[in-house]
Amino acid sequence: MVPVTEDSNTISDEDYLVLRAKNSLKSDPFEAKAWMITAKTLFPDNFAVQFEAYQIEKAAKNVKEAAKCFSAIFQKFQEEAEMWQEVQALTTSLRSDMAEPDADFLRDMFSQIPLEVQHQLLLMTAEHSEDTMEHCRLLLLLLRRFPQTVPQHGPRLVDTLMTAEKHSHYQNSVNCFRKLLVCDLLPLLGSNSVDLPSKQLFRLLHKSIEFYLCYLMSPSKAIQDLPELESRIEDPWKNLFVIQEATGRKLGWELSAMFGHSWNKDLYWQKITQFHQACASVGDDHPNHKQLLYCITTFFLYCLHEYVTTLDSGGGEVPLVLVEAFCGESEVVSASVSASTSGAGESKVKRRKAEITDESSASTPLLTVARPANMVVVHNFLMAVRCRDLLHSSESLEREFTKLSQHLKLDSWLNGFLIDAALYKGRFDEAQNKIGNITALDTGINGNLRRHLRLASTFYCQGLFARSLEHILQVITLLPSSSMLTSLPSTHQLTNVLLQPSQSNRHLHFLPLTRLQVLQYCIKLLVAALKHQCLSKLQPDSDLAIGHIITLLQFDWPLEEELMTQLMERIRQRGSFSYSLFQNYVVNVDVLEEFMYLSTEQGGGISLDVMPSVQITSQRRISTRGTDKGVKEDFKLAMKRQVARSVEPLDNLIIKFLTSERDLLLQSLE
Amino acid sequence: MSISSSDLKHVLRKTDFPFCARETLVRVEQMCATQNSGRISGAKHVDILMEIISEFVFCEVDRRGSRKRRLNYIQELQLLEVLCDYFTYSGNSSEAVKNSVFMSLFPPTHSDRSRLLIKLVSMASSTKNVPVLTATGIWMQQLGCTSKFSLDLAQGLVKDYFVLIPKAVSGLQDLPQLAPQFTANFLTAVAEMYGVVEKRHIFSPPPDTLLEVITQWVSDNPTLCFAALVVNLQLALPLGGIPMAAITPFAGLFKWCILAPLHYADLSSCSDIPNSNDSLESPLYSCLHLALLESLLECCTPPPEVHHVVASASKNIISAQHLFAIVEPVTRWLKEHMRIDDESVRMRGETAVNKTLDRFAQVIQVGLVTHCVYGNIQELFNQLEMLPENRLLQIVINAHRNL
Repeated sequence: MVPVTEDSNTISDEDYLVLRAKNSLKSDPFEAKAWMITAKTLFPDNFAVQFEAYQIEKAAKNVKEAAKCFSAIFQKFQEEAEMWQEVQALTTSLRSDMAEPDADFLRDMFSQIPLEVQHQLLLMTAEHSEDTMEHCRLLLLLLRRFPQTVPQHGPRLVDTLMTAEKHSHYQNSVNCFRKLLVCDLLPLLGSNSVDLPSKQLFRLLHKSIEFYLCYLMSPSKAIQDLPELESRIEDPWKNLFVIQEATGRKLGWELSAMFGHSWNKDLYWQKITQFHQACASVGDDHPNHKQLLYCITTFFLYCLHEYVTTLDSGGGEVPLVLVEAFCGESEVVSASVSASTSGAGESKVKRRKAEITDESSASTPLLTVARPANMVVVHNFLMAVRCRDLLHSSESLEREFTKLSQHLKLDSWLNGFLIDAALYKGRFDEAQNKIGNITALDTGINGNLRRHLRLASTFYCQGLFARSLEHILQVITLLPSSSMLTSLPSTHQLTNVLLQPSQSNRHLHFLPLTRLQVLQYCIKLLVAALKHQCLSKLQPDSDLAIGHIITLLQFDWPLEEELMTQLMERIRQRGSFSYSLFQNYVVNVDVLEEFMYLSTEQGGGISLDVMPSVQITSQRRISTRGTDKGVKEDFKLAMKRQVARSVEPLDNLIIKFLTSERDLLLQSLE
Repeated sequence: MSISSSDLKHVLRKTDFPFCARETLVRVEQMCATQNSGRISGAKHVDILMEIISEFVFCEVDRRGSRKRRLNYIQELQLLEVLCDYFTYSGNSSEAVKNSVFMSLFPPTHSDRSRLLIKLVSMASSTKNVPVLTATGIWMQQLGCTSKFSLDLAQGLVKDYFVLIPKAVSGLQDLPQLAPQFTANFLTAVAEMYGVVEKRHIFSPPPDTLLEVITQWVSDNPTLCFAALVVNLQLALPLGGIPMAAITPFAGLFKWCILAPLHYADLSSCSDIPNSNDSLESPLYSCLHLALLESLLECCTPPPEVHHVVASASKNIISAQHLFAIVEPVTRWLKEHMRIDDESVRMRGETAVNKTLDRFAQVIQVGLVTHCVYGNIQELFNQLEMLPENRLLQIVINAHRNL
């Protein structure tokens, strides 16, 4: 049965036993094992025999037995090269999650090895490792598996990682060593009673904030010199909060305890203000000062990040931009709101919410969003504004925060928020300055669109309507394409949210960057400017402005029917109306009917100079005297032709109007 | 208890079977308890016990002491139920008292009751009645696991249980955990039973089902074979009882594994169909052999690694004498085998002998390394020298002779 060959007489006893074991492995694994047991007990100090026993168990996938052999060999024969290879295969498998049979087996085996051997094994491999990264990973593995060793090896590993990062000269703080330090090591240190000097703790906190910020802001979410699989960080803010809480605990910070809770932002804010008030009575140079600075900064960045993410269409939403919107007289708006039923409920909700977030509604602007789901952006914005105000509330805090934000290189992505904050506070020059700064950085299509919208918005606020128009025209060229190109803008999409009745004197809106909504905003901006320029001054020659407004109002008709009624009344009072662009741009049936009515005797027999073609054929103005029936018929026919055009897509018509009639628009805005 | 023997019998006669049996057990227990506390003893006392057990429990004699007809099957079943119930529910009495009741019920003088004992233990095995099994284990050890009483019991159990019931294996799986001492002593007994060398055969192989159960037991419970050594028998015995030394099943079971190749070599050379299933050695022997070796290693690992399951217990695990008793049948078999002229049969025999010797050497090696062999080891080596040459055996002898 067993091929005991002649040469088996010439080989050593050890080899003979191993040979017998191997020979019987296939036919009778039990027999093979019995041979192996015999060999192992006969030659306990022979590596080859012991290692062979391990190989046999491994081949048979006996996790427990293999673990036993492995531990015994590891403790006895660490110098053997073959053993060392096996140790390395084992530690490599421990660090990967690869579902590979060999690695799986080794991982299972490791879990069966006695703890003290596991510990010894990891430590020894780490110390043998020549590659720093490898060394650090192994030590981390050790610390994770044996938390009791953290005080012993943790602080040294912190130093190793920091030195390694320094010597590697990374440009970016999102690199492999930093990731290991911040994401893997610090949480272990935090939960353990490891004492570190406070200077070190500050440095680690800095490094953590910096790392997570850069990570969050990087679009690729890639970590330098780390494989993609390891570069994914599940919940960066939660991680940072854990570090903040733990570091704060070690520094004796009372306020940082709040990061240990998963509260909503209002509760955090409440804690911060309470603490701040308590501090204010103590004075500026108190040690509390530092914790206030770091805790507010972290919370501020948290709100800010969420805010920026929402604006930049994080989570698949439409990107937003904060712009100046409009305040109407309450009764006008409520009338128009009731005209569009879909808008009514929505705007009421918004109004209520906005009032909750704003205590003093008279002095602070009203903030609205296009969809109730976006309300969170208002909340985050206001939180961030408050944090920033608090950080600038005292000279020393401001100084420290400036230092910190320089260190953390916050400026570049703080800018967008600062523009919005300046707009919110009514500091339009400051906003425009900052918009100028941002151009170099933000060149995407949305970046440009946003820039011109912001500029159009701020110039409008400053009463510089002509300059505002320039940017509106830029916006028109940058309008995103829409799948709804051919259909008419319906009231389902466009609401009167841009026009809000408000006790406060200002209204800001988070405008979604969609074709129709941006276009609607531009129109509203122009209408408001035209109204301001012409109607309020009661200029004698306001027909051109009125014509422009009528043209523009068609876009979201009948949202502003009320204004149209006012304009019609004005025309009636003046008794005549002349608008050379009428034939080109006025196509709305309701509007056309209104003009038809004005031209009749019941309507007041207003003299209308709106149809150049009619004028040419008759050489006369249309009158109501009935003397020129032909002219009247021609007018009717011309109006009918206009009605026939009412199916044209309005967005394109308005865009054409804006781009082609720039000079005439400017004329009425100057 | 000042009640006289006749009064006692009078009282007991008032109830019918099986109630009188139940009542008698209570009385027996009381008497054993007083005996245990050392107050009354003596032959008279024992006589009364024996009499009432005979008359009211087993119903062997009538009131005048003359033989009665044997209990019918239903009555037997009732009696077994009474006995099982008694050992299960007599919670108050100590282990020692229960064991002394059990030994009074089945004394060596009443070998005629072994038929009922077999039924009782069968029933206890299938209903997992731990108290009865535990008492049986102690009974076996006190009477000697390799004594005729224990062998009769073992044989009866094997016949009743392992052979008769096809699914016995799964039902008996947890027996080693429930009643380790009983299981160990049972193993010692069956090992002896089938290890006996009969005239023409070198060894009488156990039925496959038994072999299968035993292999599984030993593989799954490395400490099983030591179970009888671990129990402190003194506490389980009545005052003044002398605990009998346990004999582990190792030597007996190893003997099976060592001799099995020779047995099957014989069979295949006699049989017309050499490769039929019956004539091949079951792979279970190889598995059992390994399980026994691992069991020794696991429980008796040499000093530095402290695993002391049995380390502190008596080292009398395998007697050297039991081991060298295996030498004789092997040499005898060889002598007979040499006479065969057929070349192929001789070749097959040689392979079998080598397998036997390999296993034997492995047992010696592991036994010596784990310090489980006791007795005259020098004599063991002398005996081993008489075996034919085998490389492993030589390696093992050299390794240990030099020590």
